[in-house]
Amino acid sequence: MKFSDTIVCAVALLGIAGCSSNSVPQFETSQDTGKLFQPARDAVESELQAAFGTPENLVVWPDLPVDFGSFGGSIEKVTTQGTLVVPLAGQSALATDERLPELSGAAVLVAPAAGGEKGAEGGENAAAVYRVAHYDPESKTLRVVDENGKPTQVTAAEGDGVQVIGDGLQKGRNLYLKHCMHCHGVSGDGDGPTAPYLKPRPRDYRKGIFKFTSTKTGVRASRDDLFRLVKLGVPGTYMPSFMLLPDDEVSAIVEYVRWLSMRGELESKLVVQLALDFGSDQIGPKRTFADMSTEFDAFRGSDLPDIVKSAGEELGADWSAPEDAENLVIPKEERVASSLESIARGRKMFLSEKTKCYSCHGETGAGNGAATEEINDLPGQPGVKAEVPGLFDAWGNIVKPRNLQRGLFRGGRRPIDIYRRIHSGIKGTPMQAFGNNLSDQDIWDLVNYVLNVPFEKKTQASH
Amino acid sequence: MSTLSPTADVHGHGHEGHGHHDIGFIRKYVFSTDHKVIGIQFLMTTLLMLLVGGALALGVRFQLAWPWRTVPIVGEIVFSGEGGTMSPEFYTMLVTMHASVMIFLVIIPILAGAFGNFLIPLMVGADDMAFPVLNMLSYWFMWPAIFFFGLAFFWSGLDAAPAQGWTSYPVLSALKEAAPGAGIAQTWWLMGLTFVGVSSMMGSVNYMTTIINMRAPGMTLFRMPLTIWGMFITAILQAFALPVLTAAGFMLVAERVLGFNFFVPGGLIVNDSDPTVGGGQPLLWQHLFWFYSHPAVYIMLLPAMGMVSDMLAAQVRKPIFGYKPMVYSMAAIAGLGFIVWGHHMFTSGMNPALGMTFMISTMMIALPSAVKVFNWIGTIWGGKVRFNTVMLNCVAFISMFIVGGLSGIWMASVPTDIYFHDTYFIVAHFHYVLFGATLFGCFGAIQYWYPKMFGRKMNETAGKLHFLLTFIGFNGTFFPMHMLGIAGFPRRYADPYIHPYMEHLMPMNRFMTLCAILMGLAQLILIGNFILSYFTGEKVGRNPWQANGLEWSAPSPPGHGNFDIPPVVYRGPYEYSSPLIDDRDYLMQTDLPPKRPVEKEQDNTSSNDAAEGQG
Amino acid sequence: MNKFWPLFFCFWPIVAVVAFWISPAMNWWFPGMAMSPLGQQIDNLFYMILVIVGLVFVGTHIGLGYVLFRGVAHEDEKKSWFSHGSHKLEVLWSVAPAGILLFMSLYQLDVWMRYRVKSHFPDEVQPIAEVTARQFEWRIRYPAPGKALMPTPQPDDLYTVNDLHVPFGRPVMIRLRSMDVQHSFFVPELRIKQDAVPGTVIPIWFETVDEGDFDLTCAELCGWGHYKMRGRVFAERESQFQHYLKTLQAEQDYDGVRELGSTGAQIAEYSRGPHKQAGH
Repeated sequence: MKFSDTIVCAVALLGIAGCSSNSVPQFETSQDTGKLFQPARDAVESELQAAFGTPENLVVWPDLPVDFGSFGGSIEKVTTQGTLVVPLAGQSALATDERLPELSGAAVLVAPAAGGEKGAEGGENAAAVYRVAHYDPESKTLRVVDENGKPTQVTAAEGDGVQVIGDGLQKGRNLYLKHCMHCHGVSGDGDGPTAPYLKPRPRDYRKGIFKFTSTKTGVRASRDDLFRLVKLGVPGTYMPSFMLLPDDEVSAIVEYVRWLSMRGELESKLVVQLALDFGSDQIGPKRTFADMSTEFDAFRGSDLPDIVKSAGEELGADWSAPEDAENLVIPKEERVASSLESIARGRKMFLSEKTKCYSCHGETGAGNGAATEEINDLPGQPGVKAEVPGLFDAWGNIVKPRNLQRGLFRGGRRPIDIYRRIHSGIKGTPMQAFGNNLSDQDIWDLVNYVLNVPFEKKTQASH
Repeated sequence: MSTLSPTADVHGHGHEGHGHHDIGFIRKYVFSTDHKVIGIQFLMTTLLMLLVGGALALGVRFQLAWPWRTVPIVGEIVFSGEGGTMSPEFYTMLVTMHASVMIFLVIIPILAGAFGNFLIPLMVGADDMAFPVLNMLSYWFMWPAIFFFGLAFFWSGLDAAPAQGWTSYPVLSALKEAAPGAGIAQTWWLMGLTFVGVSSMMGSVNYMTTIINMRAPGMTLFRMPLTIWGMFITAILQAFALPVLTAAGFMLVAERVLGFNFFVPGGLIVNDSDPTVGGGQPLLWQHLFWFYSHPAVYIMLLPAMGMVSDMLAAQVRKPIFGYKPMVYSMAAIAGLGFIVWGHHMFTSGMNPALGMTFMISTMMIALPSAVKVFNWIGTIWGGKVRFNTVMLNCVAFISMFIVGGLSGIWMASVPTDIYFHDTYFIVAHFHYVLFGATLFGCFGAIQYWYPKMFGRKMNETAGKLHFLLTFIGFNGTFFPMHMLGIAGFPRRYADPYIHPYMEHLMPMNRFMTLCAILMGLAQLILIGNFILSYFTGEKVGRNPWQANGLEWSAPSPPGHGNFDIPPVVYRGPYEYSSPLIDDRDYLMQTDLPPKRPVEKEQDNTSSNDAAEGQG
Repeated sequence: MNKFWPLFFCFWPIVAVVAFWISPAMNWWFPGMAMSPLGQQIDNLFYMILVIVGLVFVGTHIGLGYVLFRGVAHEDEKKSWFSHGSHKLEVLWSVAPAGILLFMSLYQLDVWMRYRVKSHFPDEVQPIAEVTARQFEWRIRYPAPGKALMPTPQPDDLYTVNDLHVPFGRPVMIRLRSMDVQHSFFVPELRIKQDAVPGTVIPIWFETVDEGDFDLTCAELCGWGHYKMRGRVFAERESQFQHYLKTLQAEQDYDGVRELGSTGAQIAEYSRGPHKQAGH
């Protein structure tokens, strides 16, 4: 009797355990979005949803320079209905030949030859959408079905452009959720479950700013910068090295991180526009919720699409720029060999009024300059003094100037890395760009000095 | 016969007997100084904690089988932001708290606390412990321990619990920057540990005094049941080893809170903090910790060995095979137990010469264990075996202890331990000993002494089903861990599968997790059986198992003061199937010597012919 | 039905033995053969113990099964065998295991001494790199090509992370340190494990018998990211190793302008990333 009760109980518990559904992580909206009044918040969320989707269901926004690992080619021959002969070639680093047999299910855009690939990318010039049923790399035959997986007729001619949208981003998402999410958060806000315990805080991608780049001031981080950073880690922080992840996996992660950055940037761009008029704190006796709703409906109908469109264009331009070789910081002169003279010149430069390096990094490079004890302006708000002394980064955290004596260089220890730090500054931090004020020669002297600081102490002591 | 001493039903009859007076409900059942009530309180508490620890273990198993998947039932509540998936630091917290709960709140208190309290006075023929109030305190000091462990887990949210493993190696446990749970939670954890220690120490002092001073007339040391020997040796171990752990705990607290510097060397930069200053030595903690915690392994085993010996003899109706070797081997285990702690540290970088000495002493500790196993098998040999739940659990104890003991040999030998240290091989090993041996022993003991506790028997069918499911689930969960260990699968990994050489082991882990769930559910049968038998179990008299021990001469359940007839002991506890009498196959310790002249037909060379010899 | 339980207790050791027997074939076994001579000796010791332990396991379980069957078959009228034990048997089963255990421990000392005791290290072994464990990665420091590893960092030292290159065919030594908490340098395929203890530098030596890359993991709980410490030991020819150091040096001296020379093309891919290579 009692015994069967127990069994029933046990089976019921097993049932509960077995039936609980697998929930999916969701993007969180930013704090700033939370300050908008409800309809505006909803609008921002739905725009983001439309442009980026959810972590479960990623959306392609063709305006953005995101590498989905797509393949492209032009039709050589249309054989039977639904079967095309297309030599597909990878259009990006994520699209490698090994992935060709795995394309089944991917979206296919077929656009008339006149539009060419551009038409396919733009997605507006009446590109027809299909799905890959099978692709055989040997015979280069591509069999397509319609979006519901049913056989379909293909209206295509020889020479038409074909683009197969890859799953690089989904792959990146999966890897991101496994390796990165616990610190950087599902939405890339640097606030994952582990983040509260980490110093410095994990990067919040949503400003689109990454500290250690090879690009000029004001230019975003390039794919290679992020790739290198993921591979090598950031010494002195909790960002570990993912050296042994295969390159294609790292590339996929990088792509997803860029995509998350763009998502965050779009959100903040929209919020900046909306916060002026539609903040929830502006609701009051003079302007009721209903008033604001009416205004907002009008705004949403007229202005908002344009704002989204131009924001998309900006994002597209901003995130394409770092891939342009012109925007890379490349020294014009070779490094000056590290010699006692060069180091002495570098030290002089370090202590000079021209650079004022010492004001933050301290006279011995210990990172304890006077500025760390002063009340400084808040980041992005010139003239507004912070309540506590110290230097702030763009995310509002106090940053310590690097203690050069430890010989830990977060952005890399190659001369070129340090050159770039000095030339274009560390983005989002008070470390400013000296590229316009200093000659290459000066910078190289500084580099030699900085690299020598960890060893300098001992030599001084021995004098 | 019930006029000498009040029995259970005497409550309310006024002042009678030796000054036992009418006591209220609270004094009788809550803040009771009666060793039996305290023992049962310990038992209930530890069974509750067993469920808690088991639930934590299932969390661990879930993550290993389905890494980064939504945790069933609790996932969406606790980890809503990440889609219900566990965070890596939470995994290390689960591991830490599972071990802490199981070791400090289940295994040690269920043996020493529950059975030690309940059995020692009954088996040595005393009316209570030597220090009843101290005994009560030893139970009530468990609750601050549980409270502080709970506080550690919940204080700053679920994701800031202690996460440095139950071993709490500094530097991880000493610097608050080192891990999410190394803040205040770690201090609470150490507080909890201290309270467990205080509780154990109170019990230990009490047990030693009771066993030495309060034995009934005729109860010589070598007429004591092996359970009492096990408890006695355990109490000695605790008394000598615990101060070291307590001191180490205070040192760690002092280091964390007061800025002392015992364990943390200088120049460490953890979590972007300023470099540490000082000259501590992390290995010091390991030495101090294992100086307690290795003997603690025997604290977690010896009483179970004793209890199994008693139960086994009763179920096979045969004297224990080699009583004195059993006693000596327990003493040898305890003695050697103090000089083997270094085998936890073979790869730690201590002086390699120590590795050699510790290897030899560790190998040697296998010897008394082997002797005990052989003696148990010898005990069953030629017996009339009753295959009831008690017997099944005892056989499982022996069988599992063989596995746990044998796998220990790889760890005792330093070169192979280089490979097996901190892999799942170790996890398999100590689960076979602590769960496989100790807990099966405890399951048997619960069934065996339940009639003495509550006057009713537990249900046999449910007991057998519980045994069967637990045994299958247990082996399904822990036997494959040997293979994992051989495959180099390290402990305490939240996601081992990011390492290519372990990817193919995920299906095996899924199988293990399913077995673990089965095993977890099986414990509900035990709990159900335990509770329902209290109301519906078959009522029994004083000696339902026809056993010999003193406890079976007391009423079931015994009243306050235990024995209605003051016991006098005439022989050892294992005179089953004695040729001295014909009508029954047991001869209780209190039975008067039979009149018939004795024919000397037993083997004189054996150890326990103390029956008549040592009056 | 009487015999069910004795059968049950005989059945499970059979399952256990079969499970162990099929494990190598099912790939539930060592991650490949030991790739170092010392590792092979450790494997041999493992198998030696496996045989002894296996025999004892089977033997004791046969004994257990036998006495259980006897116990079931026991005649109802007859009492159990009244025996308090046998002195001879006690002596036998104390002395025999003691001998075996003592033999096992003494037999293994040699391997342990060669592995850990400095005076028994191979003569020619020199430290080739310093591995510093930190939460949660392995930072590696090499001396510049042709130089010896100094205890403290030198200006021309070479740095890399998680990827330890060593030459195979000769003993090499690693100086193991920790920057923060305890870690443990565990290379399953080489059968090496050594804790990295903060405040201490611990030398470990090993020799790989062939080329290959071997997983390097952390085997001592070091925090929430313990499982993340994935590294590898890459064993290669001496010449390749020297070339690797030169590559690392060229990479590390890279100033963004100068051509990298002959080694440049082989700079580890991460130095520039795959994207620019396609683009330039």
